[in-house]
Amino acid sequence: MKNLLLPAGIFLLIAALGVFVWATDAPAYLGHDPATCNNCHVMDAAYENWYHAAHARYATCSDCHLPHQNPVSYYLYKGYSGMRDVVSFTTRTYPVAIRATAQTDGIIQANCIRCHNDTVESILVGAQPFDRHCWDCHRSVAHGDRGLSLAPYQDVEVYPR
Amino acid sequence: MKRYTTIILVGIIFVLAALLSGVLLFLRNQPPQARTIQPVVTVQALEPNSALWGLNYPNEYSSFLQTAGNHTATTYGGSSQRSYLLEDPRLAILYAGSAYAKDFNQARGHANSLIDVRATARVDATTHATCYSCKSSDNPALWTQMGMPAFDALSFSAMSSKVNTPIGCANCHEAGTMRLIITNPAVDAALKAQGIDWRNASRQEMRSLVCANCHVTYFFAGAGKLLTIPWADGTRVEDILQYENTLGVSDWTYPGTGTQMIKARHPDYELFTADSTHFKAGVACADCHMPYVRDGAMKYSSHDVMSPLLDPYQSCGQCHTNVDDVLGRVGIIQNEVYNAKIAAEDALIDTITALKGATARSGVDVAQLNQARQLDRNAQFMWDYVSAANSTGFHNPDEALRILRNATDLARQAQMKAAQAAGDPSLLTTGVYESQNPPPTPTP
Repeated sequence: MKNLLLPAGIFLLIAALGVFVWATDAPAYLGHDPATCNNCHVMDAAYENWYHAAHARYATCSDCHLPHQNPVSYYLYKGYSGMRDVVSFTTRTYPVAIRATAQTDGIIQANCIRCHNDTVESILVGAQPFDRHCWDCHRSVAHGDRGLSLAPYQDVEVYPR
Repeated sequence: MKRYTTIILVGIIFVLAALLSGVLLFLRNQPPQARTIQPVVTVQALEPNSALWGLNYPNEYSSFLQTAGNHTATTYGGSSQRSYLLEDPRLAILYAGSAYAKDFNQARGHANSLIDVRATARVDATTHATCYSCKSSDNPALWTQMGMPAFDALSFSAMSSKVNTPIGCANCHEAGTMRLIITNPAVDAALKAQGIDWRNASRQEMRSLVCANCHVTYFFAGAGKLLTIPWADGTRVEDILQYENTLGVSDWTYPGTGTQMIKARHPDYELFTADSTHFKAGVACADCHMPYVRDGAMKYSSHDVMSPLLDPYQSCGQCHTNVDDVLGRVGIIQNEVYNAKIAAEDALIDTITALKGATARSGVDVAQLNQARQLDRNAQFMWDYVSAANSTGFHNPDEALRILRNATDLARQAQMKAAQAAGDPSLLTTGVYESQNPPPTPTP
């Protein structure tokens, strides 16, 4: 009887882990469905405004917000970024206005160029580095005219129903 | 048989391994990928002929050529060669005694620079070659060969044979690298005087700094008429005024008042960089005046430099989504600055009238009269600083209104001081221009 306790305990632990993974839809976090990013409601504004903006048909959250040089850096940063969000959400230390960090800025910029390289190639070349972000001017392309406003798309003058 | 199979298999493995190693080594030794534009021709350093640069950069060059024909006027600006003197006759009074009273037209696009400087009535037999400073892509080479003092010491007509091409690529770009550079030695010196080395500036900073090659205020120093940018004390209007007052710069003596006047010349860079909203937001001159445009799949910076109001959807629309709203805002700002400018002009004309009256009188307190002249000189420079700049204040609305407010205040102080010097309250008469030039009665 005593000999069965340890295996039974391990089995229960694995089963509990399995239930946790199944119940929380954990594998979804390995994918790139934007709805998954919006599981936390702090992402409502970012999600909603992206959904109505120009890039929604072409690019998901991870297409812009994760590095795409190789699968290793992609999943490493995905894990890091995800855990960062988990910690700040659980401890309620996230800012009221959520903005991309300086590190994310670099990743997003590289992803802009990844898709639009042919168009912007000639303005990126030069003896001096191109020292701005695309969205310094193209402010509304990713998250729409209202950016990360918490009250999206209520202006019927601008957005008729 | 079995023995041969083994040998063949091992042979294949060896060949494949060698092939793989070869491919990997080949890949390893490839030059690193770099974004680059393959030049069609090699452009020599300081090459004045823009058409040659244009072979390598056809989009930029063909848009630059459009500056030759872009003569459109906006409400207050544009590039239409409108006569400022006819539009606002107050200017003829304020510039009386200087060459600006003869002829003062709006500048046209970059490609017309040589034709227009040779056509203006401001140039006469006494004019120095300094007036060619910002007019030709031959200049960077000439400045390098002969130096700026020798260039400026020559007469305008003596230099005419050496200067053949209008403003072009060589005025802002380094051949080969196409890096943006300061080519005007006077601007280089002025930046150095402030402890700034433009070679350390970022690309975005250079996208404004290259405009400072010409769009800055200046004066001619000494008998050699050396082009000088008065930035040693800073680039705010007060710093520039203080610098020119300390040196005792005088561009002309105002007839009848004896005031030593100084002329402000298009301080566009200074006004824009004086903490304007757009400058603080990281916007450069080129962002609005040379917006990125598309030709097919390619994007490039338009070199058809012009007023953003002539193509606001391209210029403002990159950042502002509601362009009509933006245009309304520009209209409000420019109207306000224009009205403040006219108010300053009326005050200055009242001052000039009072100063003339006081100067003509005998038994005047000379010390007070000289104070009045100094105030008049400062007031007119500050008014001119906004008036002579492009954009009717839009480059920096609050700074423009602040300067015009101070100009009007100084002008009224000067008038009061003149009346005090003569001990004659009748010199405090206001509205002189209006009374002499009553606005036309509207016909019913």
